[in-house]
Amino acid sequence: MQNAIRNLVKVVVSGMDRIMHFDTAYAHCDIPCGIYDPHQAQVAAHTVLRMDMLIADLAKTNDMGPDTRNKMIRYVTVKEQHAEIVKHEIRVIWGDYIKPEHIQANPQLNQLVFDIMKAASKAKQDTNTESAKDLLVKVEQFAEIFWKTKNVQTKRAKSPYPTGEEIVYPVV
Amino acid sequence: MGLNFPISILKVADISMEPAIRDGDYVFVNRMSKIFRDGEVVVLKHPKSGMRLIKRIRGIKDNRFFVVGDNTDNSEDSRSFGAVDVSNVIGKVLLKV
Repeated sequence: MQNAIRNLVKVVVSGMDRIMHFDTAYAHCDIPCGIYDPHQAQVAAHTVLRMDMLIADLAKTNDMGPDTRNKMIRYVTVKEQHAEIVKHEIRVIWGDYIKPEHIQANPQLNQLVFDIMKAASKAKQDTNTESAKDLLVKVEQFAEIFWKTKNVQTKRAKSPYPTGEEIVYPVV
Repeated sequence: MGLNFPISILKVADISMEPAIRDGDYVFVNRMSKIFRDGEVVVLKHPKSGMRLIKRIRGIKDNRFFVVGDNTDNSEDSRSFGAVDVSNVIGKVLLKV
């Protein structure tokens, strides 16, 4: 009965709204869609490493022909783009999803995000696979912390990518 | 029929107060309220953007309110923008339909 009255009032009020256009109270002020996942950052970090490996292979050929130069430019471009993807994805999760209680429970998180930004910049600046591996290690640490905040267990496994490095998966 | 009457009706947009208040619900807001308690739902102005928000009071200290959305995974609230001054509070939610 109470529900019936409530529904009737809602019908009346929504009818009034169509005529009078009530103001809106927003439940939030961004679009926290609730869909956050560090996977894109992880894949991008693997890509950065893979590009460094391809660049190193190409450098061994001592060929400076146009095809080789073209390949080199493409590898560097992709490396640059994916280091930027890492920064973007981590920044979005940190800025939109991470809350003070997550920092409290994981006090290393702010420093880790800062280090990822720096490591991504370094990975852009050089072609050293060690720089890319350093970025990848940090991104995987971030992924573990992220899933921990969601009470989702993770596992580390050898990735199916030609980097041969590990990747953190959520156990869902 | 916006916020110019002592009792105003507002339409709620989005999901951060679910399950208590859902997207598309209407709330009756008492703008004359002067006394607020923990657990009550209020309409307030975002301290930076001025946008009208609807949140639940989760702590009051020195005329500053800590407000949080019920749907904590999908809410921007005092956990990110901090406690808000009582002057930011527009009114208390009396009823939702």
